[in-house]
Amino acid sequence: MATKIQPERWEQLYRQEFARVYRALLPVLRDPDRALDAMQDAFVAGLRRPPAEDDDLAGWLFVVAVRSGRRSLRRPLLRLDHARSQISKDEIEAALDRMEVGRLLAGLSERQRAMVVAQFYLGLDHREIARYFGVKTGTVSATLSQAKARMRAEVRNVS
Amino acid sequence: MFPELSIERVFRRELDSLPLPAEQLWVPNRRTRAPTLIAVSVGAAALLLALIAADLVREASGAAAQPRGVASTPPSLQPRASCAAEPLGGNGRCVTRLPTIVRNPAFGYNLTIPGEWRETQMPPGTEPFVRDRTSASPALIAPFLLDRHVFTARSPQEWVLTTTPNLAPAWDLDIQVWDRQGRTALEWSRTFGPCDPAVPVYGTSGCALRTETIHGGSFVVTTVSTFRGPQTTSYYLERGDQMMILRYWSDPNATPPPGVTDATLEGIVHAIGLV
Repeated sequence: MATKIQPERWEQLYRQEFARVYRALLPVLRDPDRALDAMQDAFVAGLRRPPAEDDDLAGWLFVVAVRSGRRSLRRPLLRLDHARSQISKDEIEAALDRMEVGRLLAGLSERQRAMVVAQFYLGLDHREIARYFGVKTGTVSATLSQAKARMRAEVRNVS
Repeated sequence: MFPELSIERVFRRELDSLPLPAEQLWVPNRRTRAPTLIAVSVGAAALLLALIAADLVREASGAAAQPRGVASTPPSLQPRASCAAEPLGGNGRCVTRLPTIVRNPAFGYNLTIPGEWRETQMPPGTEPFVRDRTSASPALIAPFLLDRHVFTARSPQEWVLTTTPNLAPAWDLDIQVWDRQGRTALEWSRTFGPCDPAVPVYGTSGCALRTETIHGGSFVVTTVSTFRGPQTTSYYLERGDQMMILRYWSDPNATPPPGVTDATLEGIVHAIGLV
């Protein structure tokens, strides 16, 4: 049976993985404040119900944060100024629009973006994505297949 | 075939260039270590949240010029150090709840309430009124009331017993937003209690009026006192076409919830964030 991560270890791993997972969230949520909130929710979720030691921590954090970010879209976010990430939403959107990645992801749904980023940036395979997102591997394959088709079309349009 | 290998490189190269927030916004900061696993878990979460909450409160209290730090919560809003309420921790230790940030984007304010507080719903038919002016024109009763939230430190069971017809109960905070109908904050302040010098009111010891600036907002503040009785404090703020009113009353004849004093209520009002 897989052992659960202890809180102190969790804190250490969170620090290690924060940058990668936060950056993975940005093209999915396209909002630095929501991404920061989502990361904090994921950290607290990990303290309450720690993942197993053999889990891919980045993948686990990412999916929990994506879910939290999705929930936060349904509730208004009114944040006091200095609790903001100090990076504006416009700044992130402009950066993503300049990037090839941003353009490729722009035509995708949030779910597709999340799975594409999980695969190409975090390096998760279909089985891991399916496990963390709580869906069947076939669903992941189909979602990624549709996403790639759109991305290919985007590449063709550009070229 | 989709060039996946090169795509992975592009993702890494580009996403790795995205900026990160300042460390103090996300690095968990642990100040004490509890002996048990549960205490460690709760402690770490609490510290992270305390960092965020303390920062939020500091901003809300207009202390942005202070050096950034882990805990600069204004004293009036810090969780109580004593176990005035029931202890939550194991072995009888006092564990206080963190302040809660209440956001009202529709009417542009944030409120930081102590962790023991919650929002409560006034029963139907208990519309707030403008005392002594229910028939005033223009009407100063609903439907010109646009928004109302009442916050209390009492449990639901206790609160029901304290319900009053129109005002929120003593020791609760009542926040209302009205269509101000062209009236200034000063004019609104005169519609409550004996604050209109033109209207004789008996049985009260008067209305004290002052102005106060809170986070750039210029409030008209009235305190209506009665002899050895309740004292009602109201803050009025003009905001565009709206009038925001924050009101609470303290009553020496009504037992306040544990730990709640005039200073608690005043602290909540002064920590309001106007956005």
